[in-house]
Amino acid sequence: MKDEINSEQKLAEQTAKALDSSLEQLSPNISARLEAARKTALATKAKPGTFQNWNFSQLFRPQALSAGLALSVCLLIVWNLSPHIDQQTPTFASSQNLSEFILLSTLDETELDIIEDIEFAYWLAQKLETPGGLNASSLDKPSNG
Amino acid sequence: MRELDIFLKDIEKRAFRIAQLATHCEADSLDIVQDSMIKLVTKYSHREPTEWRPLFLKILENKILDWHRKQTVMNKLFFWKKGAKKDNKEIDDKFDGEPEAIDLQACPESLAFTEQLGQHLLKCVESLPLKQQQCFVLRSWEGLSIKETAQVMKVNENSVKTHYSRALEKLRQQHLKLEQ
Repeated sequence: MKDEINSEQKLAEQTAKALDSSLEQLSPNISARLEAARKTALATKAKPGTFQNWNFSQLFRPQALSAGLALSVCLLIVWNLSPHIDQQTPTFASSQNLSEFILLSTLDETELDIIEDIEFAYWLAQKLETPGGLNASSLDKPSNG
Repeated sequence: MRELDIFLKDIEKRAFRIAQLATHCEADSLDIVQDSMIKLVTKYSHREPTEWRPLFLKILENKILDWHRKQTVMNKLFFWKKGAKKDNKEIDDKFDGEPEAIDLQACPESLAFTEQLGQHLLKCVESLPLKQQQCFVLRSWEGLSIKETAQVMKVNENSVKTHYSRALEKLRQQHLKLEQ
């Protein structure tokens, strides 16, 4: 096993040496073309990857426009859906109404009458306190009794 | 720019040989090396010089992979052409599969290259599946660690170990065959 590993390592080293020596055998033509390729590459303008070389016209490409349009449509849909969601979702106010409904349903008829009388008395007291609050028209249509 | 020039001068021949081993074509190898150089200059020249080598090798390996993918597509599109290489298999099969026989007729320059070298070890490396070849060259020739090789090849470290081990085994077998 150890011999096998050694032989493989030796083979790898031999191959690496063969590859090294093959570099020396490259034709002058290839070397010249590689040099030309290097010069061409170095002549290209460097782009450091900052905002200074940004081409803002790219922002108006059709892809960017379509992506922006799709985003706008999505936002519009979400915006329109949000009030509908609010109506459907149980909130604090709706839970309060529910508790009031449960409370009222547990009361019998006489207790309801008493509550209504108290409410009327409270309303009447408020109207009398405010100057000019109570007039004939408001008394014409009493809500209770 | 001076440092970059020195770096590229130092690595260009090795890059060319790596590309030639993978493509078996001189002209395409030159294109690949030039494209890799341009990408390094335009995108990564602002990076630290110590980062250039792994970045350049990564770019080079990606360009080689792109070349193979393009070749596969071209061969599928123009399957009736006689000069087309016989790599109509799926990309993964090709990159991971059994070593293919070296098609020296595919590119005339490669014949001259092989004759010029006259070293069967290089033929063995040339005949390895692409991923194994990349892994072997990066590990044995470029001297990259397993981790660095994995980063360059965009595979995990275990894959690097597997590819390298398989490459060595195939090299050993082919070397023995050629010696006989």
